[in-house]
Amino acid sequence: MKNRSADPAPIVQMRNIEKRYGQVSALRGMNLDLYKGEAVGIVGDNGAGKSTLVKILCGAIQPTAGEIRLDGQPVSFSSPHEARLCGIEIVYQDLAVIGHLTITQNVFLGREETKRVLGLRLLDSRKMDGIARKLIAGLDPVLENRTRVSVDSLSGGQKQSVAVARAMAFGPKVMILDEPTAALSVEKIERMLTLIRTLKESGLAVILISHRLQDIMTVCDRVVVMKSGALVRDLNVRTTDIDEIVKLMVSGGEMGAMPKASATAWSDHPTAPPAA
Amino acid sequence: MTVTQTAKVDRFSAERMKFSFRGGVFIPLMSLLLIFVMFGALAPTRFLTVTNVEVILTQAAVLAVVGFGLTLVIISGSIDLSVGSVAALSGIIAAQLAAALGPAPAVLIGVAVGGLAGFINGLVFVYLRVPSFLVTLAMLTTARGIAYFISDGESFVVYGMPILGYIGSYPTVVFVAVGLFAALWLLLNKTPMGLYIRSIGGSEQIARLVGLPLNRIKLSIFVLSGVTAGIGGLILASRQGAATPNLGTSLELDVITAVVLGGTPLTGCVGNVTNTVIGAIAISALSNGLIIVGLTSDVQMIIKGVVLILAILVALERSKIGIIK
Repeated sequence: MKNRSADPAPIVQMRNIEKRYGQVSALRGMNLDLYKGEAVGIVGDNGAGKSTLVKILCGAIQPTAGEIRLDGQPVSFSSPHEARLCGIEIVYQDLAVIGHLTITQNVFLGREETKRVLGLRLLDSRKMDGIARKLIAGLDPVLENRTRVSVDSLSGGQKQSVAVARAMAFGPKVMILDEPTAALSVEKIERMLTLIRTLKESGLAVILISHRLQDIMTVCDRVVVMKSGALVRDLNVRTTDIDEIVKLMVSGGEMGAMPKASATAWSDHPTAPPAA
Repeated sequence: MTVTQTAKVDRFSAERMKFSFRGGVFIPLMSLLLIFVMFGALAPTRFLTVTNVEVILTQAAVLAVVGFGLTLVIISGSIDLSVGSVAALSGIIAAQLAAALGPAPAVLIGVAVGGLAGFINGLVFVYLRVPSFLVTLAMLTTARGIAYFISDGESFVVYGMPILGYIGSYPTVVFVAVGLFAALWLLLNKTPMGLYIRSIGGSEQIARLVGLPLNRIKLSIFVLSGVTAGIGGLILASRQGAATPNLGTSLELDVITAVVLGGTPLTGCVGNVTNTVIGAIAISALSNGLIIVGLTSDVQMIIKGVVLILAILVALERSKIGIIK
């Protein structure tokens, strides 16, 4: 966090976030900061609390305790809709699009452009198509002329492009990608990683949840390792490598197995991928 | 590269073709044609007359009007089995009040009763989280019971309900149906609300995640279905000149068959009120033709049951449902 001086204040601050389901604690005092123009990878074993954390940020579930600040202002989202209005978008790996609707309809779902005709508020399909066309052209050029086609006829990767277009359509501040590469071919993964870089460059804060650590090492600036609902370590990708991350995921950084100081030394490890 | 491109385009147009059959009007129009050709051949002098076609269309108007609301319910992925009983309740109440209050207030109250029944369906479905199938099954018997209760089993002559008359040389009923069609077609195809109804039928989970007001939408759909059922009941009552508590018995079956035969699958998202118009005319022609060729009502019931299953086999996306229970 020392090298953060260029960014005056984080866009998102999550402080002491707790989530309990009866006796079970999914999150125990988790902290997370997000800065403009960076991508943060969240990793952890199954049940570490990654999904719970991002679902709280995007309003899908509500925390039991803790505070979320957006641009310094305390916020609380009672629904995904409220979070979207504040510029926080999430793309789920499986729950992406509605099959029988067109690309345009999926992109604008819940935030349609309308026009007044004889006092009636009707859909402005032409305007929405135009915007959707531009958006989708930047993500998957093949789809540019298919915005009026039902999403059912698209491949898995193309459906995901539609979901990303929906998340991008209204100038978000934070984009959460939940396992975006899980269903993609190798070629499509490259495209997704390029997209994440583009999002970063345009000033968004990106959260990437992925089991593919190599993807995280390639596009992320920081890696947040979680275990049992708590933060294990917040690492700079330039000074860490996959081995260290895996060890932290498994050990939870306990018993001095991974002293913080060694992080720098590990960056010269032969298996470390080139810094992004 | 060129080869891959062509392959992609081919697969894409094939998908498009498949899509046009689902929720399209081709198969429904063919079944309509088949029914007309069949009865036209069996009873050419009685079936294909101007008067009989007019009878078919007037009868279709009732099925269509009730079917419009039900179409929205089905597109949202739910079902409303109570439309026949709600129609009877609206008809009976309007007929009872017409003598005292005059026709116009009676019609309004009758429609409002339909809306109220739909509202109760919606409340139980949305807030008490009871499947729509069960809620409306309960309303089917409850509304019918109330209709018998308040009428004491008697029928009421309908006095001068404007809904029966003629505008020019056309029955008013047809204008009501056309007006409702136009309004609901606009709602379903040109407004955000229509898109939200389809979204709920397509994936309620995604609809919730993008923040659509699900409860409000579902409640409105059931109110609309109650309103169209109520209007249908008024038309039925005024057409037979009296409201009886057994009005519209098993109407829900005819209407569901009309909606499904029209090409709106029970799996939700796909479909349109346009399809329901075609389905309503087809079912009306079928009922009419079966009577004209002299089949008894027991045989008619058997045939309609078979038609419902056939329509579902063609229209339902069974591949989309993993487990059938």
